[in-house]
Amino acid sequence: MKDVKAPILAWLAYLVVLGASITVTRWAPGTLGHVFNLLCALVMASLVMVFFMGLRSADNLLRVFALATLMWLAIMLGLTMMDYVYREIGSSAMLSAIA
Amino acid sequence: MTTIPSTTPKAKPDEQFDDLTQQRHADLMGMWLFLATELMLFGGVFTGFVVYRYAYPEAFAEAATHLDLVLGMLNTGLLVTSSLFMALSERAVGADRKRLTLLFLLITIGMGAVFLGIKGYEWHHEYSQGLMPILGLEFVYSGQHADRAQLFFNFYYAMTGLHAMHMGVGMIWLMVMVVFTLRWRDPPRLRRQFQISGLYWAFVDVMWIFIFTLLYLLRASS
Repeated sequence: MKDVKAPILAWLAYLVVLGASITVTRWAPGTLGHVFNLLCALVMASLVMVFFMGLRSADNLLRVFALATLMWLAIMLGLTMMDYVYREIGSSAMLSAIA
Repeated sequence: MTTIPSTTPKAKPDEQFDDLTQQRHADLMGMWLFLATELMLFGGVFTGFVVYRYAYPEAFAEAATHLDLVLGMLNTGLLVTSSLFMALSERAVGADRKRLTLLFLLITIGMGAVFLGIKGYEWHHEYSQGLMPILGLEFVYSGQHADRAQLFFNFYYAMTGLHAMHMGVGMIWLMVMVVFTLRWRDPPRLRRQFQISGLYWAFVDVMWIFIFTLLYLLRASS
């Protein structure tokens, strides 16, 4: 069987990142810890997409297509949050509006 | 007199394709397009969760401490290991190793079943603690901001339920692949089918990474 080493290494890297993320949650929760957790999630998702979903060996058109998929999600999340952050979601009027 | 070929005939593309490479590209592109629509489905739920996580940070962080981090971690490890075996099964079918392909595929399905079993146990545990505010069940919460915690658990069941449904579909799909593997007809076609199946299974894994992080890890100190 060819190319078995790369997915196994990716799997090990994933487990290391998962362990780091959980360690931070247990020992250093808080805003910085949450940022670290989200970064770890991005790294783990990237490992799965590159090594298990074949983006590593895919042609450029498919890579662009995959990135465009993520871009649409980023646009939806980004524009939605931009609205709430700009309108000061913490205010009581805003909280009652979304509740 | 009809002669029977002694070797397997050369694989041909379906009639609408020029060659097998073009067909493989079309297969992959079509699957990625499907996954993009799936991402929009999950993305809408994620976006809703992020809005409320931003609005009620303390209540959501406190509610998250009621989830079992160890079981969540175990499930995350299980799912990525199943993705590894799915990736290995793709390589095994590429190397024409029928028994190894079957073994890896069955391990993948088995791990998926254990994942769903653990998830079911978690749901039952939360139900017994009164933390299941769905289907008209009473919500019993000892911490502050019970109404906001209820919203957190609404998202929890929507996200994990949607994911479990996708896991179930994936497992049925892989069981069909077990039948195809046992038959072992048209190996080039089987390779393409494995590639597509592997994409779906890994996508379900990617969705779980974010569900696990948003629900289990963004918690207050317990």
